[in-house]
Amino acid sequence: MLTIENLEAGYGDVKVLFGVSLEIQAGEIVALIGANGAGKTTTIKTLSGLLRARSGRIIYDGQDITHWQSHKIVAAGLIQVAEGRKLFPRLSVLENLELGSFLRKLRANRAKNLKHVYSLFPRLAERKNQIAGTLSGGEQQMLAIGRALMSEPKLLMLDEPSLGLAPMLVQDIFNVVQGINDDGTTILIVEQNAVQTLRMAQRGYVMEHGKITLSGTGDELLHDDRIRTAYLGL
Amino acid sequence: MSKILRIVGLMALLMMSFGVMVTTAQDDMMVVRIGGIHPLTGFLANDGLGMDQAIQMAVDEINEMGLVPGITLEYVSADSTGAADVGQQEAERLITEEGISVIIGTFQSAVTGNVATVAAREGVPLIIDVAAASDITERGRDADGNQWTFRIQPNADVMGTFAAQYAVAMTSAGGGELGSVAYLHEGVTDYGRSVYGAFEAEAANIGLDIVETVGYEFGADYTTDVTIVGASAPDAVMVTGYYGDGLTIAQNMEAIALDVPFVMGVAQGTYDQDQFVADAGSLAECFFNSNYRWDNLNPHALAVRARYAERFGEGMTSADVLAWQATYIAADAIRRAGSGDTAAIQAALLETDYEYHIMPYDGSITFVDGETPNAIPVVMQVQDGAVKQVWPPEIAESEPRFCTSWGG
Amino acid sequence: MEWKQYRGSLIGGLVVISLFAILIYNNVDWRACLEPEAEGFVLSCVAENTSAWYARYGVVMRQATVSGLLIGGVYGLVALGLTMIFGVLEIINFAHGALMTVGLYITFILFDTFGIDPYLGLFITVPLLFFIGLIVYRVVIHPARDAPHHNQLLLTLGLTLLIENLLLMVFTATPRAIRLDYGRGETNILGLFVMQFPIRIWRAVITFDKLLAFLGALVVTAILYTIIQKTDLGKAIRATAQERDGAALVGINTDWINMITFGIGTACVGAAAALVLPFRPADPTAGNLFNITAFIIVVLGGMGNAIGALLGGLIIGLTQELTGIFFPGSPDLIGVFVIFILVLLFRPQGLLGQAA
Ligand SMILES: Nc1ncnc2c1ncn2[C@@H]1O[C@H](COP(=O)(O)OP(=O)(O)OP(=O)(O)O)[C@@H](O)[C@H]1O
Ligand SMILES: [Mg+2]
Repeated sequence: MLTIENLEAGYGDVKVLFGVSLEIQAGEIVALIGANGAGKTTTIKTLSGLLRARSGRIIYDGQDITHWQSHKIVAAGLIQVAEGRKLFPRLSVLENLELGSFLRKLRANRAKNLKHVYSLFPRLAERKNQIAGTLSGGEQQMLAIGRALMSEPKLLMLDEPSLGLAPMLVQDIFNVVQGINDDGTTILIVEQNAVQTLRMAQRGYVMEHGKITLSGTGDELLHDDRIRTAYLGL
Repeated sequence: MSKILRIVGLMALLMMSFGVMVTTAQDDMMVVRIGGIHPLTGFLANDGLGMDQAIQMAVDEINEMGLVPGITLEYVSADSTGAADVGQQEAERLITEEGISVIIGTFQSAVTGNVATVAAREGVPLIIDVAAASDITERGRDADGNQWTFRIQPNADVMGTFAAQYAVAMTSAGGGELGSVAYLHEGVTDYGRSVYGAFEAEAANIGLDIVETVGYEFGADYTTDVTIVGASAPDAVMVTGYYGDGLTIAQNMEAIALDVPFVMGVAQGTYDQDQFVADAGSLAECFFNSNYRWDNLNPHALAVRARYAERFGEGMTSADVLAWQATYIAADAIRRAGSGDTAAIQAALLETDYEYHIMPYDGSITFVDGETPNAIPVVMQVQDGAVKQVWPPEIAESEPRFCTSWGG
Repeated sequence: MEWKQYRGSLIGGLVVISLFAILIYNNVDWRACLEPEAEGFVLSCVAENTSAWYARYGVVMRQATVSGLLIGGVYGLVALGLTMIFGVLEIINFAHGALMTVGLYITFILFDTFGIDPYLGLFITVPLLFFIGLIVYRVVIHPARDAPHHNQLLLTLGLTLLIENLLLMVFTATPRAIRLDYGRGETNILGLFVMQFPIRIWRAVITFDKLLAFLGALVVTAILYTIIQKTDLGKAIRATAQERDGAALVGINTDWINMITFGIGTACVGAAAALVLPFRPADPTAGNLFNITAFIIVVLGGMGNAIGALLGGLIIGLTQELTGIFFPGSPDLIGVFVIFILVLLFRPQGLLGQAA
């Protein structure tokens, strides 16, 4: 469904990605793990078109989207739940969700999708008129995921969805992600929470200094010694 | 079509005046360069560009008629941008790099004062076409007391003083008595303050009561300022300022129906302009202005203005006429000096006795301490859609009328 | 009892009282009451002189208030355009005033050459300035969108100089004024009813052109506010202003929103220009005054805040007019700058802005 070949990207004079290649099949959950500053967020930003690729190719659904603008990528169903959530802080919960279906072709299903999001996160329904900036961290994360679901993702990219959440909530979020996948959405997830993530994922990639250094099934990676010492603290 | 031509022509002219002049002199003629400094950009460019054109026209005429035998004049124009420091730099540049022998300028008192200082220091004569502040001619003296700055317009003192006298005399001649005046002047520059200062001094002298003074700032609306003036219920309102503010003030007076049948500009930039009549229509009626001007009864003056209008496609303002006249004064001195030697020209200027001027006063243009003793302002009034000279009686085209266009 | 409950009214009361004190101190001849030969009690003497002063200057105060509010509405409209551009693009557009000057000249040409009434001309001026805004964005702003802020600032400053000098070349600096042939005396309002202009309120006057400028500014502001609040475009604009990446991630074409916003912001000065020309002649630097006030208002009202812009406009208009009365002889902008500095000190997020 998604193929990245030798992707290079960076900020200004700083190069961050040095030829990243990975692949995601339809229906999979794929994990991307790595140390802080490895370039995971940079990879996802480039996939979303927020950052221009300097070289390499991104093939999504059979199309070369390397130079597409972000709104076109969203329209194609490649949706991201960003690190730091990127909510609209002075709009209400409902307005944030509605903006998730900003694109014309999503309007028709807006009510249905909204109902679905509210069923996943009843908390959002309770607080639909609250200003997003005043939500708690957990609620904001729910809203970020909810907003992404409003865009009817075919491939959902989650960048550290459990960051800063209480352990209880982390489990909830993981359950939701699993649920989304069960409904047929392909998932690319970036997480610090490597054990849990690799357990859930069919396959995983390990990123170091802007390169993929290791890949395998979730199980393989969980049992790889290098991974166990470097990332799992085992 | 003619409008487009006009614009194209103007642009070409502008480019010419920005760039260095093309030398047209023949080999056997000596070339003497005259420098001009005026605000060619910025908010006074309207005035400066016209004056710059007037000097160019005068230079062309003088060369064509061979008024300075053996010498071809060349005009180098410079842009003060309306700023004193820029004007000063330009003066230095004209003197050291362009080799000019005399400077004409500069329309603004603040700029002219700085230029006068430079000119005196460098030993180059400055002829002021327009700039009112009285102390400039003093600043135009070098360390040895030699006069390098010469002015052909009545200065702020003279204009303020005469305006007060004219106002009283005009009222008496109409059978009335002028008890009190209110004064509205721009309070931002030297010009507004110094003209008002002179008027105030003379008013105290002759027992004329100033019941209200407003020093206004430039804005989009002067209704409040005009209301303040109206609240003092004066017999006459005096106004000193530039074109744009003067126009808006007239509109604001109409709006509050200012009940004062005697509104007079004092060295003001609007109320004696043909453009005022064009812009304000019937509202312009009845406004007076006591200002420097040409003599409209002098056929030569009318001919000069006709030539200007034909060449540049726009009316020649009073300031333009003075710039033109200043150029002739410069040429006269260069003729008598016989060269571009600045000291010789300065000496010649001191001896100036020029009767062929088109200014509205009797006697010659001569210089005493750099000022022209004969120079006095005249009062003009918009009457039936035309600007008429109405005072003093010797040069009046028509009697003053005390009225307002809004029927006050 | 909670002191906080009363804080607002207490401060308000103190401000009003001190304003009155300043007014009397600066304008009323109270010193005469301290002279030994003054009759009666000092306070009653001051009261008498105050009422004498008011008898003469009351009309001035009323006029200043009316004039300040009327022009303040226009200031607010100009500031609204600026604040929208700032909110979305995060650039300070110094050329805002110069673009208004362009609008003034367009209105002038429409009137002078084609005989089109300036108020009717709004339907040409506003769309035209909108497109000029789009072009300016494409040609000048967009290529520099990733440049450091001070470079963008210099860029818009350069654009200002370019516009001013081009206008100077084409039109010369001669102020270009228009004079409406209606709006004085009995005026027929759209054939519905007849009104006498100028309107007089206790001898303070409201002229037709200024009233229309004020009402026009309010209407345009209201329309824009509705667009921003109610339409999808408005939502997209707000979303982009609040969280640019977030907006991109829900499929908003943020480049396009940038351009549209710049166009709308510029259309605001187009409207302001058409509304102002009947009483403010056009010259190549005519927009400067509105530019300066707009900057102050944007800070005052809170960056990117529409209601704040309108409120700030009214406050600045009033302050500018009243300063000269409260402090005779002091520059009008002094009062404005005092307010500006106070707001920077105590409410840096602006009067209505959210704390960062
Ligand atoms: N906007 C930026 N400008 C310059 N450098 C940046 C920017 N964003 C990230 N970087 C740098 O790029 C490198 C990779 O950052 P990135 O955010 O992709 O890491 P990450 O793998 O997501 O780390 P983390 O696990 O901490 O989120 C880091 O060295 C970071 O400092
Ligand atoms: Mg990251």
